[in-house]
Amino acid sequence: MSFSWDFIAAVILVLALSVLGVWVFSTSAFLVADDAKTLGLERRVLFQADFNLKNCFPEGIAYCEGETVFSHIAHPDAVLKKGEGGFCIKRLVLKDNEETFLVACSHG
Amino acid sequence: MGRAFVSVEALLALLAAGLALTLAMPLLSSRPSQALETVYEFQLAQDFAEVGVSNPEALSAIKLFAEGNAEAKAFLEEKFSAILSKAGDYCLELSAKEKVLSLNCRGGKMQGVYVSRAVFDDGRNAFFDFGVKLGFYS
Repeated sequence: MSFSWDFIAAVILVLALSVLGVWVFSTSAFLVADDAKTLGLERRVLFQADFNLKNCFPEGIAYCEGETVFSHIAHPDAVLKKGEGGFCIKRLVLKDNEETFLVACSHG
Repeated sequence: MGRAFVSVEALLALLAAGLALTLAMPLLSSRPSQALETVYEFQLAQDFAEVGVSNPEALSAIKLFAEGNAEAKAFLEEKFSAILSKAGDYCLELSAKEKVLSLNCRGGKMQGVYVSRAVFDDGRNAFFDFGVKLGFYS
């Protein structure tokens, strides 16, 4: 009788630990995957905005003369809004000698 | 029978430990946003410095501000306050030679980044540093 109770308790213990293990693993895996996804989106937006600032229009938004790139000086025809919604960042630029912002977003 | 009850207590303790571990997982997981936040803060500080020296009007004001000109200081204060109001809730500290202009700095706990640009002082035929310190309220 004593053996039976010990056996049942051991089985319950193993089952509970297994369920707990799967739960903890799946929860942490989900969190890490979510973090990685966010990281990817944010990195892409940061890179895209920086690329735009430092590359000649129309690939980027920078004003260029010959081979000289004027980073942080936007071409007069440049559109300073890239994407809409999601994670957005602002980068300070000069357009027509006025300080304005290049806005880059993760959606769109 | 008695030993079985001890096992149930152990089971409860393990369940509690598992729950605590699960609740702690968000703290243990990586914090990518924070890592990129520092990169963004640094980029934004660089933007302020670059735009400051790229705009001829602002550059003249920076040179005069470095010499202690009050009008230039007021001009920079107005210009950079307007930019700051659109950028976000940051503390901006502009420095040229020994002169410092603080905008939207409330004190308290704050982390920030510092960048600088070399500006040529025509009058003294020498360079000086135009510093930009951007502080972030956490």
